[in-house]
Amino acid sequence: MLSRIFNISTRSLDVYRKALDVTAHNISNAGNEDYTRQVADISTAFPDKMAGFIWGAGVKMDNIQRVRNQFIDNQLRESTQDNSFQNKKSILLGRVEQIFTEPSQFGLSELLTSFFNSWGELAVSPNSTALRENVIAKAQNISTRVETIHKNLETAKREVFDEFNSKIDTLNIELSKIHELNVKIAQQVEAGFQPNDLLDKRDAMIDKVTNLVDAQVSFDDNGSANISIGGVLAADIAQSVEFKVTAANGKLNLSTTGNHLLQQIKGGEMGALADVYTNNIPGYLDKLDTIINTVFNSVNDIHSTGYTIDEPPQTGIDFFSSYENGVLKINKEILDDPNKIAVSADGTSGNGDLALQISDINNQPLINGNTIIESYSSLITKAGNDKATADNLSTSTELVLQQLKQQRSSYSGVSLDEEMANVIKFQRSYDASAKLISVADEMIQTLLQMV
Amino acid sequence: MRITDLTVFNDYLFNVGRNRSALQKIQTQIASQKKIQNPSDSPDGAGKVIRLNNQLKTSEGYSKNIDEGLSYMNVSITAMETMQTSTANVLTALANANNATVADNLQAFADQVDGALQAILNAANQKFNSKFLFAGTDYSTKPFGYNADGTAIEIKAGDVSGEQNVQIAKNIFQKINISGAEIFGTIVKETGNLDSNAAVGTIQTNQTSVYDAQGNEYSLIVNYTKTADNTYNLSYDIQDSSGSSVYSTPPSAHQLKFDSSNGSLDTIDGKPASSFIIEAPDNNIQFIFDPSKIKESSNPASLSFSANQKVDIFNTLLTIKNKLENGELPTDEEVARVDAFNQHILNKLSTAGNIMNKLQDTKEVLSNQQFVITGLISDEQDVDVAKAVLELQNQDNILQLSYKISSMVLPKSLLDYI
Repeated sequence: MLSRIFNISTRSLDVYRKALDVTAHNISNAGNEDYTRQVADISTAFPDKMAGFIWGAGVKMDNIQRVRNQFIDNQLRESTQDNSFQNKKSILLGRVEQIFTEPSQFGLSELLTSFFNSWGELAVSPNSTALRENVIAKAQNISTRVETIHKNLETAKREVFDEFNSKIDTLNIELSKIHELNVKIAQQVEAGFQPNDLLDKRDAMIDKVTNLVDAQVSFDDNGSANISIGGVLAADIAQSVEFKVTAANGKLNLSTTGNHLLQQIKGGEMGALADVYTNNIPGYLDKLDTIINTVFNSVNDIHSTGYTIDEPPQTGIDFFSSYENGVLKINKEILDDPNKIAVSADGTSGNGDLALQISDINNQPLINGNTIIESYSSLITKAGNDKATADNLSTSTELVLQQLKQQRSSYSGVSLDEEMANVIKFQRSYDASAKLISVADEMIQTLLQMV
Repeated sequence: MRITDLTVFNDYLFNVGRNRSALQKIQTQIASQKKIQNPSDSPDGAGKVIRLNNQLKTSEGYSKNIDEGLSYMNVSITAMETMQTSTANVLTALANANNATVADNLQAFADQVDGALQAILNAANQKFNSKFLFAGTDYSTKPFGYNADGTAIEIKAGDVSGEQNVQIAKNIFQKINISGAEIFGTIVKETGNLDSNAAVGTIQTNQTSVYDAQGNEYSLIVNYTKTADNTYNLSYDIQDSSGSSVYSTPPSAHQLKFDSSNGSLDTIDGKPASSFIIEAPDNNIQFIFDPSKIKESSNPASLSFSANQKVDIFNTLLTIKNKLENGELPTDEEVARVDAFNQHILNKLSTAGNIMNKLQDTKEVLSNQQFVITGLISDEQDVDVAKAVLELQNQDNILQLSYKISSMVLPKSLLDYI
């Protein structure tokens, strides 16, 4: 029966050495964000039945378990999508709102105001070349500013497109890795292993995907992760799909390589990129164009009825010649000869009635009952509000995300205190088991000496 | 709750990050003295600042216009006062000249009248800021001067009747000049209506008296020949007392076009309706004809003339001077004309004074407005430095504290005790 002590002790030595290995693994991964703490599942070995008694057979190690809460994981994925969407949107809109350089003396609003004021000044001395040059200079300021804003918005839009495109590459790579890991995990599970570290790796990749898009994640019975994006199965154990960018009708979205267009993606960083590309920037451009077109038409309508101070006075001359793609052009005749500015209502050189009318455009409710400046200020308020809303939502979703991360880390993270306590616990058990062996040995010695 | 090492680290970093970003925001605010760096800092505030700035700049523009108007008016009034004083001097001189004891020394009076005439002419041609004050809107040409043979004074510029308007408030435009026509010119104004039902080819006519530089009477006959719907040819003739035309070649006709909907005069020769000068230089006749108030309606034609004054002061004074030089006394009627001008210029001075008052009142209102708007802008975008500094101090304290606590808590673990 003495061999029993040996058996139990050896088994116990083995179990506690393994348990110490698990603890060592935990400790060494204490700084790894993606790591899920593992616990050695220890239970009593199956007892022997002998001589009418049930004999305890010592300890055995059942499993090395990964401590993970599926419920927190699901919530965390959803929250990540929301947060990365709002956060990305806030960053993008922050870049966009700076393009307007408002409120400052370099903003378009100041330039528009001084443009209309310059006409009012011209009305005082309509035949002054200096004041005429001043009007032209103010108009050129507007034209330069509008062109810059337009160009920068277009550039921002193109950058958003490029970023979206490069995110697709990342997405495709992650999806194919998830597919590969699905295969490997299935193989190991089939062989009867518990592939904890591979599961960690796959979870980290799924997190990356949900950071990018609003992906649906589910797990089937044999442990494979199924990812679907925009109504299309993106990765499972059988395959992973490659996506590419489509930009049709001003909308930015994903489609499969077979040209199947996905449902509009709405979450994650790519959702934010698509939203800003499709809605925000074109919205700002539209409003800006409406405002500049109103300036263009209202100034020209009045100006073309006026007389120049040439000899003989001419009429029917436009002040602006064209506004296309953000380029506001001043009539070349006027640029060459400021006397071609036509503000005289009756052909005398000192009449500035039309300059007064043009200056008064600033007070007219021309755009849906708003003046030009009011309309422009509402564009700025809108740009500011869009960004501020994204900021607020980003902060609030971040708080939720942070809380969920804390919960996950509380559940699945490594606590060094706990691991150190485990080290001592397992070490003591190991020591005691070793001691048992030496006790058993002594007992055998004693028996042997009796012989 | 189970607290893991990463929980503690992440929590710490998250909070310090928030703390630092708050600190950074206050620092930027203090350094730039502006609460609103970007529209998103206060979207409504940014919009408001833009609208208020626009109001302020526009209002400042109005103030600038008013300053311009005030100085223009000031100079105009000084010039008009010179004219009035000179006219009053002439009246005194003429009263004295009537005294029989000085009858043989009329040359001295002639010199006085001539001096006054030159003073008035100089004042009438006065320039301010490179604009002739009394030249209406045609102010780059000297408005008044002698005719070629030096026998009369005439209007040299094309049109001295124009009004210079500037904007002094939203929807309020103010005339800032007294035009030459208002003071010196004879403006013959035609009012009433033309019959729109008349057949094409019908001539509607009207006539009135006009005077030459010496005060001799002539007849002005104006014919409106209907050439098409809403369109008339305006032709005119000036005849002397014997009924013979003083035009050897009558000037070509002007085409008047009326607005078919409201009957007002739309264009003259394709240009916006305005007054024009009619002259017969050989007879020293020159006056401003203003047809702009004529209307077209379905009522029978009824036209009437009115004139602001019969004769201009320059030529009256010239006539009186010539008479005095020849030892003749001016007639009572001639003296009455000078007196009439004196009244006329006094009236115009009070008009100018009213304009000055209006400009000054508006300026006062505008400067109050600007003060208020500046305050509003400052409320919206300027940093309350005291408050910001306190907040900065507070945030800084919190940051220091969390650094200190972290140095106590973060490195601790069971390892330190076994």
